[in-house]
Amino acid sequence: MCQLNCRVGAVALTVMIWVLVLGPRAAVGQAFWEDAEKLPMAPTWLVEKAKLPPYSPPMTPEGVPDLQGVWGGPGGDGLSYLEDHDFVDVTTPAQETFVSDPPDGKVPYTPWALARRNEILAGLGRGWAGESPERLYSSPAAYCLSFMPRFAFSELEIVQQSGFVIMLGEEGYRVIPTDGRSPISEDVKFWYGNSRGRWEGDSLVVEVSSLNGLGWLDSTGIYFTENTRMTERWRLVDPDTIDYEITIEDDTVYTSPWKMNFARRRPGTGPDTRRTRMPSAVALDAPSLDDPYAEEIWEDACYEGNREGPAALRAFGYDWFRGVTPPE
Amino acid sequence: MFLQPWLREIRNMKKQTLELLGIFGLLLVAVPVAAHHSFAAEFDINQPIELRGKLTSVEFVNPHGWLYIDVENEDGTVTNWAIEAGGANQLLRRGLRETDFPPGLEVIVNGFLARSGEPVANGREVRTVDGRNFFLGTE
Repeated sequence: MCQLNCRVGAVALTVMIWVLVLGPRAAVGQAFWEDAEKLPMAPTWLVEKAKLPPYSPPMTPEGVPDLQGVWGGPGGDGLSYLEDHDFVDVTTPAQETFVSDPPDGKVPYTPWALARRNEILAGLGRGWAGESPERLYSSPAAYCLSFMPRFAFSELEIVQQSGFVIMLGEEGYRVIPTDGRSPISEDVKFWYGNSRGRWEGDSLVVEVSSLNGLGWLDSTGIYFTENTRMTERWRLVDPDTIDYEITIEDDTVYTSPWKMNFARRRPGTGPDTRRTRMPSAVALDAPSLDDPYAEEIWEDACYEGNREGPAALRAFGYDWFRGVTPPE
Repeated sequence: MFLQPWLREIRNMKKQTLELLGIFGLLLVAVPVAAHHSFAAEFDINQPIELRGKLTSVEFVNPHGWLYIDVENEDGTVTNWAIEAGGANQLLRRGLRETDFPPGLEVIVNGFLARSGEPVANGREVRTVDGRNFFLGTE
């Protein structure tokens, strides 16, 4: 009997230690979480932000705010599940909503759009309560198609040049003209849309249009459409923190424009002061609590080795998300 | 059944407990990058698995690294298991190198079994018989 009991006990202990140590911070990749206090997100950040004194950001020689440097993502469980939720399972901890407006923290889908969203949620096959036996769509991120808004949920490095803001991420880069040029035609669609930036006061404002509507905003199927427009606002609120805000508009599926907010911080600042972005790792005899490369963005090239996952998902019957066509 | 060869007693519980505490005591931080969250669709959290075998190869690639190990079955046959690990960037940032995983190295892997029924697992931790431990951290 000890054979099984000991094994179960060891596994339970292992998981417990993982979650106790990793929570409330997610490990890169699939972390394991305990059923613990809800991870902070937009509501907590808005309270924190409201207490901050006024701040005037440093300027580049061209006289625009200097946002350059490496910035972390939102922390918590990131893009797992955007709306407020309690503990789902060890891969999906309780977390506050990313949605700062409307105040209820929910994406304001129209009734038709909400029904579609719930249908997608029920077909994810993640073992959650209330799922349908049918497997519908796997997350586009499983195919290395990052969630929108691009890079919002991961580290990036901002580089500014005359007339451009460049964002370097691990899975790609983003060039945002700020020279006043007009957007491309809405007849041309892209996974990550077409970005045009401008400076308004201390904020970098980026308008995103020409989205193809095939991506998701999180791993639970919160979707947008090819009619969706996004407006991001990047503003330094202290030397090491950017308030990231995005407004999402699409009256074909949302009852009103809605917003998300979270803080992006420089490595080694904020609630965690260690200069590392990764679980430190590790051989027992060579612990390394700091990532010496924390301020470097490394190309990930997700597609390079992304073989078994997509193949397995196809074998299970998952399909590509084909977008939605709102009723007339 | 398929898993029986690996459903074996974990010996030296006290020793292992100390090891685990040591390992995970070192896992302190992280700002997450994009987790793909296909984990729950591909692997079964309710089927933890322990495998012991010899490394045949390792792939340091993104978004997942892979360890391949030959595991001897009860009937004497050998199955080559694929163990999904963290991506090359993640492993490198943690200080791991391909040279840490030479072919022939005997390892014990803890992870979760793939839903496909194939000899594939999502690795959580790998231990070497000489006492080194690594967190594989995959997504």
